[in-house]
This record gives sequence, structure tokens and C-alpha cells, in this order.
Amino acid sequence: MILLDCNSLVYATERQSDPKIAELGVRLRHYLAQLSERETPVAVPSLVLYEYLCGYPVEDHPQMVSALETNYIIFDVGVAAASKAAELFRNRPADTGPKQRAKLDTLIAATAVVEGVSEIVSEDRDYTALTLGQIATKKPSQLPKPPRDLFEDTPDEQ
Amino acid sequence: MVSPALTVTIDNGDRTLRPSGVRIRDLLRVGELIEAAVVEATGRELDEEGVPLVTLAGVREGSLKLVLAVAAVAATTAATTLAAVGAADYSQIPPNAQDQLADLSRYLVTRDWSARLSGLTRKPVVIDAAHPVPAAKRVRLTERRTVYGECILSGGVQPKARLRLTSNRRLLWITGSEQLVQQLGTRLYDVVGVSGTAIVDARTHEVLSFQADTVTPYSGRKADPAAALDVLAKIARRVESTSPIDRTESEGDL
Repeated sequence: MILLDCNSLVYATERQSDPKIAELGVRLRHYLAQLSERETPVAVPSLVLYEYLCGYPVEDHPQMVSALETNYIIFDVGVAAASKAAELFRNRPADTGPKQRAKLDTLIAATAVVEGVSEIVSEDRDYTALTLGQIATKKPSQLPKPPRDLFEDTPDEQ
Repeated sequence: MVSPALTVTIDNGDRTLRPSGVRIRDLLRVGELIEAAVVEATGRELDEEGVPLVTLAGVREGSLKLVLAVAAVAATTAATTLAAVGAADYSQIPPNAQDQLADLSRYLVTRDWSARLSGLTRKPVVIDAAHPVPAAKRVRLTERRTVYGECILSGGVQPKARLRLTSNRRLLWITGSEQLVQQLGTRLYDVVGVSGTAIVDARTHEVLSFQADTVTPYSGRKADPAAALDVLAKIARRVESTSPIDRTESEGDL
């Protein structure tokens, strides 16, 4: 099972002025299509859902939540995750950045651990370090590009 | 690969049990409870080739000796579990496995039987009135929870379904209304999400029982994560056309 963090959702859905960041979304969408073909479940923790929805007017939330909960496993942050997060946070590596951000990301990481996630897709956070090596992190920039469309950017025939 | 054999020898206290004195169904129940303990200890029912972890290899000495073949993949865990019984130290085995052994222990004691399990551990392990297996000690918490898993069974006089949890591949019986269980019946071998009231072990957070009241909208094999992003992107374009989405509010470092 694969888990997406908030930045992955943002890169894949929101307009990015930096073409390099925009390309991450393209790679991520291609990867998700491959996961669908392999029937690999993709998950989003409710905390990530919260972070993502913060960018949108409340009236849009029901439609967004409906699209996500139909197609993604949405994990609650329960007692087990809270307990695991506290354990991971107390044993976190030294270079995990600002404390409050690290606390939130550790809770996402702990949710992934207790729910049996094998891989977290994130460009910006090393979840492998946060989970003390229990879960792999895959960066969208390391995902393969989708194959080029045969008719895309083809020079006009003379 | 040759499966290690676990021999279960049934006797009673004064060694007067005759070879013909054990009914087949009683002997098989002993085997069934041992199999259940191994399944709970390993968290799986089958090996990589789809063969059950514990199979019947023979019945000897009338019905006094049951020979079980334990799949190689489960042999170490089964040995560790039996060694825990021998040492009366259950701290290293899953509570559900201990509970299955406690059921076996009660089953034997009510018949005044003794079971000697040999072949997997250095010394034979005895379960009887003098060497009972207690039920696992648990502090139970009740909480609202959503679990996801592959629905592998559904139905019954008392409506229930069995899920193989995505979180740890363990099997969980869930109870619910007839309507809910029928709904799960239409999703056999698909990954489903169910919400309800869970009783969990406070130490391990393992779900001990689950009363489901809702099937979540998650569509399992029909899920299309990329299509969901299309819906989100469409909304994002509309919102972005009026004002940029401020990710510094929620993300901080975006």
C-alpha cells in the first residue's frame, strides 16, 4: 500500500509556476495510473486531507472529499497512531526541521506505520528517517516520466 | 520442502484412556485449535504456495496420537509459540494465539485429557489441568475506528464477515446488520472499508472485535486515484482563476 503526503497531492492537482515542480505532478499521475493497473491501494491520512483542504473554500470540500474517499483509503489518526507518533517523535533523527512541522509529519508517518503502508510518496520529507527506517520514501522526481505521446511535440512534416 | 511434524499425544491423568476412547471429532477439534493458534501466531493461513500452514499427516494408536504437518514457513513461529507454553511465558506471542491455546487448554481440561506436543521444540510441551494455558491478559479499549481489508467471507445465521486487514494481513471477524453483511457479500475478494466500534488491546492496539455499522465509499479494485486527482485539479483551476491558493497557510514550507 502506498501513501501520498500533502505536497504530492498539491503537485498533482494545483498549477505550479516552476516547470520542474509541475513535472512532478505529471510523473506522480503516471505512477498512480500504474498502481491502479496493479490494483495497489493508495492511501491518504485524514491529516493530509486536512492540510490539503485548507487551501480551498469550504463549499468545495464535500466534492473533494467524495472524490478522495471513493478512490483512496483514508486513514483516521487513532490511538495507535498517536502512540506510535509519540514514540517516533521522541526517537527522531536530529535534522527533521522545525519542531511543529516535524510533529505533524511524524503523526503522518506513524499513521503509515500502524496501517502497514510500504511506501510514502513525498518530494520534501524523508519519511524513511521519520519512521526510523520502517517505510520507504519515494520522491516524485525519481518516478519515471510517462511515455511521450506519439503526436506530442512532433515537428510538422515538410 | 519437508514439513516438520508436530505429534500430539492424548492421554488422561491415570493413563486409562483407551486407543478407541477418543472420538474423531474430538481429536480433530484438538488439531483445529492448534491450527488456529499457528494461524494467529503467524498472521497467515496459507504458505507461499497456497498450502494450509497446518495439515493432518496421520492418526496413530487408535485415536490417541495426532500427527500434524506444519508448513516450513510457520515452523519457527509454531515452535516459538509452543516454547512459550512450555516456559509459561506468553510475552512474545500474539494475544490471539495465546487465546487459541487457552481454548485448547480448556477443551482438554474439561475432558480430563492431557496433550503432549512433541517434534517442534527441544522438549515436549504438555497442556493439561496441571499445565493450563491462561487466556491473554488484556486491557481493552473501546474506540470508533475504520478498518480496511479484503473481504474473504460474508454471511451466517448471525451476520458476520471476515476481512484480511490491509494493515497487517491478519484476519478479523466483523459483526454487523444483515444488510451490511449482505453489502459486503457483493464485494467478496475486494478491499473494503468499514467503520464501527472496535474493542482493541490497549498494549498492542490489535482489534479484538469489531461491530461494523457503515461501509465506507472506498471502491476497492475499482478505485482510480488518478481520476480523483482530475476532480481535484478541476476545482483547483476554478479556485485559482479567482485567487491563488495560499499554501503557505497550511504547509508552511511549501
